[in-house]
Amino acid sequence: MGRLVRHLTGIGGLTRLLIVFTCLFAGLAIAMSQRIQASQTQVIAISGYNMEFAYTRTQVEIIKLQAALLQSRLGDGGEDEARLQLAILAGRLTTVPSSVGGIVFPEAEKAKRDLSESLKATARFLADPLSEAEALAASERLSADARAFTGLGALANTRQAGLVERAQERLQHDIAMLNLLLVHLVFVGLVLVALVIAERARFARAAETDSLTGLGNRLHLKNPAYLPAASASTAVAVIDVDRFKQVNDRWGHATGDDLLRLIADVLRREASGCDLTLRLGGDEFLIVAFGPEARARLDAGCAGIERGFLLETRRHGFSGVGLSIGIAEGAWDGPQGIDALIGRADMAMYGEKNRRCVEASASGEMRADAVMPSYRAPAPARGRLLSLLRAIVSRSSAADAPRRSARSHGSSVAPGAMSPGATETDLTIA
Amino acid sequence: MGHFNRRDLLVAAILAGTAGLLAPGSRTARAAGGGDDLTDLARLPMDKPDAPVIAIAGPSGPVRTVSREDLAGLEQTVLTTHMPWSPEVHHLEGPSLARFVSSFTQKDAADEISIEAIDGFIVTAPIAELVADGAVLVIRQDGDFLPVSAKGPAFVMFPFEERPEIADRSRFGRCIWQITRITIS
Repeated sequence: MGRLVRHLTGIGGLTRLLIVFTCLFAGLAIAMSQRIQASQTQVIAISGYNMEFAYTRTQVEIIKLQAALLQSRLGDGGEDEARLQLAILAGRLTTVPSSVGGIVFPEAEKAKRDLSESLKATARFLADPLSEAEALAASERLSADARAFTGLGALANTRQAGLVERAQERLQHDIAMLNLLLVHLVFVGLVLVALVIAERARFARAAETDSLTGLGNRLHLKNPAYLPAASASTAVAVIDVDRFKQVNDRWGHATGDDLLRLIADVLRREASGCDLTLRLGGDEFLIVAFGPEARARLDAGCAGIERGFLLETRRHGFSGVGLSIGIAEGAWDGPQGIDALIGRADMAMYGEKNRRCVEASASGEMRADAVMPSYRAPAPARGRLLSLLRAIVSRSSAADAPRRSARSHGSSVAPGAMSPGATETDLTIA
Repeated sequence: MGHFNRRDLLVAAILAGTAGLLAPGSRTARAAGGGDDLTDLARLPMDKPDAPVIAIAGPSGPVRTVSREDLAGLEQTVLTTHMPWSPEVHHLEGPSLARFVSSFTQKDAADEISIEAIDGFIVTAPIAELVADGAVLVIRQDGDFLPVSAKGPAFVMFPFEERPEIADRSRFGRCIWQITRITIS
């Protein structure tokens, strides 16, 4: 339960609101459906018993009893018939309803009581016949009862119909309410589904984004959306920061992170002519150009990066750091092909780095009195949403480029394995 | 009230009960026109359990007239249910309609039953429908045979308590009482 609450509080405002509404609507729908069931049961209960028939039939049997009594008074030996008719009527009286669907008819209760008394009087009279006057009184009582039941028949007819009508109206209203609730539930459900889909897309984007720099990460190389559809000439540059470890050791990881953000900004600005700009991990970055003049565009990007890096590191006081860039080119032939290209560019980059590290240790860079660098990325980390937005914006611009080049030039390039004549070029930073 | 003990109250209750038992025969009760039980006042000679009161006509052979005791000799089904005219639950007993029909006809020899009451009311229905609805030919209510003045000698009832879904107007209409003749065809 506590876990559920924690999960719920972690959900965004709109989603949480929609979940609350879903629960609310679902609860109301269940309550409404139960009310509908109750109303249906009541309609069946009210209309189930034919009261008018019961009352009318009672009235007929009272008249039959009166006739039998009259016959017995005339001396036709009709006492047995009268006794039978009395028993029939007594039996009927045990089945005459005075309420329907829990609604009591006081008139019917009174009529039943009166008839019961009349029948008792008649029974006693039949058991012990006395005077003519007593017979007349019994007959008159029965006449009054017959009239009462005639009235009851008409009353039941209208009252039962009215009750059924009201119950049906309530039922209709409740069904309309239930429909409305269901429409709301479906609507909220659809919005929730849309939100879940959007959320998934956002997570997928976030997974492909390097949270520190806002550049894409390695997963871009697996996502066909960023890659050419057909074979294309490809140039890759692996860029690595020289002496990055020393920056971390000397000024701390926060300053190291600032340097990485600085480089990412330079890459974004200077490699705009290329198709992919990624952070591979650590202090290693990757630039890729696909299609015609891939190598030329990559070279131009790298040259710009070198210039920009020099300028920015000087401006912000990062002394002694440099970039090693390894370049490889070939034909794009699927993700495996590009991995091989990156491997070769990596090798070229390390060759260059080793050479330059020897030079650097000889000249003794990274002076002990160097002032702490002061670069603050114009960048992220103010909030999750902001960094996510930056990541989305930067990726959508990066994502368009390869698709464009693949579409316009992909077919003109002959498919095939990695070009055996690929060159590896090392660029060094002054 | 404090000075009445439990024994005094018991004695008073017994005296009151005795007075109630004696009341039906007294002239004072008769003059007041009330207090008697109508069911007892309207008893008939045919209410005796061994009186042959229900005529049964099968698809073939002569008409037989049976008593409630004859019907009680068949396998009995017990229904504990309310009835269309009474929300209270009663224990009803009698042969199920299926058992009753099979004891008077060969299997599948009849498909319709016509049940007639003393007052002329008739219910005609397919036997299969009544059997499917669990109809019982009730001859005892709460252990006692029923006089005509209490819907006897027999009435048809369905297991409404157990199967609320069958509690509708058409089944209520088939709850015929004061049965005097049954025709199976």
